[in-house]
Amino acid sequence: MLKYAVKRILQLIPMLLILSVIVFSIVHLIPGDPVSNMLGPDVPSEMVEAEKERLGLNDPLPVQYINYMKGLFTGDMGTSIVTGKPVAEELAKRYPPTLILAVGGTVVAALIGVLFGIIAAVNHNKFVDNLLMVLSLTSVSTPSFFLALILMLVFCLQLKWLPSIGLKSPLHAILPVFTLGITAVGFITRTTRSAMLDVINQDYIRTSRSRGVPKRVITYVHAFRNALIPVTTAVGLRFGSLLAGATLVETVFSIPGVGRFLVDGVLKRDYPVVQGTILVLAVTFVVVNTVIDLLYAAVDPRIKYD
Amino acid sequence: MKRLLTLVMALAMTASLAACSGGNDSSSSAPASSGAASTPASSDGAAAPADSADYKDTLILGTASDQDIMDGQNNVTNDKILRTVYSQLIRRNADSVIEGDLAESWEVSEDELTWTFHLKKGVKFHNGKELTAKDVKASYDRLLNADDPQRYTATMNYIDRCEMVDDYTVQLITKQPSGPMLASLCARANLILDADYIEKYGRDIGTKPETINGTGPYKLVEWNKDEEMVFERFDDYFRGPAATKNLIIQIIPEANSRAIALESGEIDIADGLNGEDVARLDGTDGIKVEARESNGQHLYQFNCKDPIIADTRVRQAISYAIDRHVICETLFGDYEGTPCTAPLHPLTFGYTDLGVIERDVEKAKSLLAEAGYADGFDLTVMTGNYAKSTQVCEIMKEQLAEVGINLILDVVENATFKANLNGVTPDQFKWGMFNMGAGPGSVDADEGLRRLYTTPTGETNENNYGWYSNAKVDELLNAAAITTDSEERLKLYAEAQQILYIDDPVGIWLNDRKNIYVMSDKVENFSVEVKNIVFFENISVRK
Repeated sequence: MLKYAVKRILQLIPMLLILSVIVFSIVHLIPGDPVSNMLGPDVPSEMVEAEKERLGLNDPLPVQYINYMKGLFTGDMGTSIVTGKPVAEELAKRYPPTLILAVGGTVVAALIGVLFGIIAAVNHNKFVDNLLMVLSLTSVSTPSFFLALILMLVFCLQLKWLPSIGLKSPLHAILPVFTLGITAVGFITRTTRSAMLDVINQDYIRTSRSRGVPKRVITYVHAFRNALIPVTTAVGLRFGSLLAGATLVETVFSIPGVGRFLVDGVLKRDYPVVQGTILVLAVTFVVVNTVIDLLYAAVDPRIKYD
Repeated sequence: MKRLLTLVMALAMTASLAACSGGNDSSSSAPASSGAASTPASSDGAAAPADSADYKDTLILGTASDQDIMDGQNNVTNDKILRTVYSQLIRRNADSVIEGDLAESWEVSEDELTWTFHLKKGVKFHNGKELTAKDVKASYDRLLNADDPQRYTATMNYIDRCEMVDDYTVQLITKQPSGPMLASLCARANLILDADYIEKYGRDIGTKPETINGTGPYKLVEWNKDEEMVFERFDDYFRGPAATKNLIIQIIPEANSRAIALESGEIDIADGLNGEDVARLDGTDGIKVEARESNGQHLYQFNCKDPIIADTRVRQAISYAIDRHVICETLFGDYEGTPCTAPLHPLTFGYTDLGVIERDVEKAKSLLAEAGYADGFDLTVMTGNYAKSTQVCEIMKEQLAEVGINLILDVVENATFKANLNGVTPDQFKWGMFNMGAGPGSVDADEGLRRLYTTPTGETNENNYGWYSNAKVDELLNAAAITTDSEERLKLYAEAQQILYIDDPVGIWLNDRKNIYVMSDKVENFSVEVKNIVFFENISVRK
């Protein structure tokens, strides 16, 4: 197990390196450049050139890449071209809100999704099952910004229970976390349902039932435990999309998170910001999925890593 | 199974109960905590009359985006919030009249080259230091240092240097007589910085509160990027302390969220709302709308190096083919602007009313026939996605189709748009038309016309993005730039505008824009200057 864990973690290194190359190239290949965008069209082109030179943007791409990676290994993620602030400092401030949203959203989605999935599977093809499937379809197809605005209208404007701006207290977190979570409920419900159905139809469940084991025990102890593997995977994958989907929720609820930082960076072609943010998000995603891989063994003792 | 369902229901009910009680808790505790917070504030604010028990101690404005940097000399910034922190020699008041700010009085020499400014005495910086001519000189030296592109300001390059006469007198010396001198000095690049800070922080001025030292009505005490800027009243402000103790600029990127925050009372003033939201809120209880003219205009400029567009008759035909009324009524309503009446906004110095260009399909067709394009042609328009430009283009496509022109839309994202405009050569520029927002920062025709439409000196397009060239226009605008007599300047600009607008058009002028602020009706003394600068220091908010 330990050996496997170490191996998995070592595998991350080349993966992240490749990722950094891809991110770096994509960012630099988009048309438009940060300097002419920042200085505006009024500035003569000689001055734009001079500024590019100063920022090292005229060096060949491989040289720029190596310089960037050198900085990265010494903990320097560069400074924003637009605001002149260190990217690492900005990310340190913006990462926690996004993480709260993504983790909170995942927990909400997992709790509701797994519960709904089990209920649907147990009531296979009955009314409750159909109802839940319609609900999960609605959840998947509701855009988060739309849901966010509706929730805001109800809870902030009509009922005046919750605030709508920022993430200053736990109270502020309720609506954004739920908004984000609800959009992922459908996917987890459906995964849980089909995994449960798979297991419920297996011989050992039928045997247990014939032995007179109570239905509740069969559902939660025998069946659910075995259905957990695909569910865990689904939750892990959803975490990634919630991390990305947080941008919209951050925008509607005015939360200064990583997502908005990234979008702003892309719009202004602020290369260090875009590179730094994508790397941090990618590392988060990869780490979470590695942890989930390692969790399989805990969930299912049959799985052995060597 | 039934038991499971009951369990779920029970769980759901407890959860919702918890949510309810949570909500109740917050609402019951909210007045208590805010009451506690207001006690020290109201006793503290007893000095300023507006701070009495009837007024709030904090004013909150919700706006779409944060300042990039709090440095007026840097091209990255926009104007709105800078004046809360900094002052300048002269400024425009809410009625757009030029008045002294840091300068008590000023005069120009006989040869019209030397402008002398006498500073007010006893003006304090936020750190307590007194403002002297040394700070003014250091600020202008920094501004006029053209080696630094971030410092570059096209409107300022006719100033040669700044000289210090004594502690309270400075002189600005121009290269040649300058008509728009005073108007240009009102632009934000002229904000005065502290000489010591310039030396100490250099390029880092305005990146965080510690690097900011101004003479304005508020101090920036906390700046959480993309979240909020928190200002506190500067009690020694030379015009007297601001009416409200604290000012918060709350960043709310989404316009719908801003409208909701205003309605729910989380903010006092919202700017940049959608026209539809403004119309809806205008009738709501407790909300008022303040629409003020800005000097911005929205236009579609021609690429005069395009072989077809180069023909004056083709440009006139396109201009006559567009129905500006329909576009403005359909897309902009009352709040976002009315059709243009000249290539300048009525508030900009030099404006002459030439009337809205009315649609005339027959005239357009005959002009096209005369030019040899009776069967029409394909025309590509490049547009960034702002000010509903995509929808505008879609309507224009319909209207142009009637005279046989096939308009092809090329919607590009903002940074790409800017890159295409900046320093390109005609063969790199493949569009026949592109959209522009125009509104000179100095509110003067010199910046609004001469800078944009006089024949480019080099190969690339620089400020004259469409390579417009007309010898008569060059002559008129260059003459107006070095004339200081206002009457004479107005005459020259009137003649130039007739050519730019109708006789040899630069573009299709579409609509004059407005600045719209929607606010709680408890907000008093709201005023804003033509360049969208809010005079926060006068505003107070009733409880």
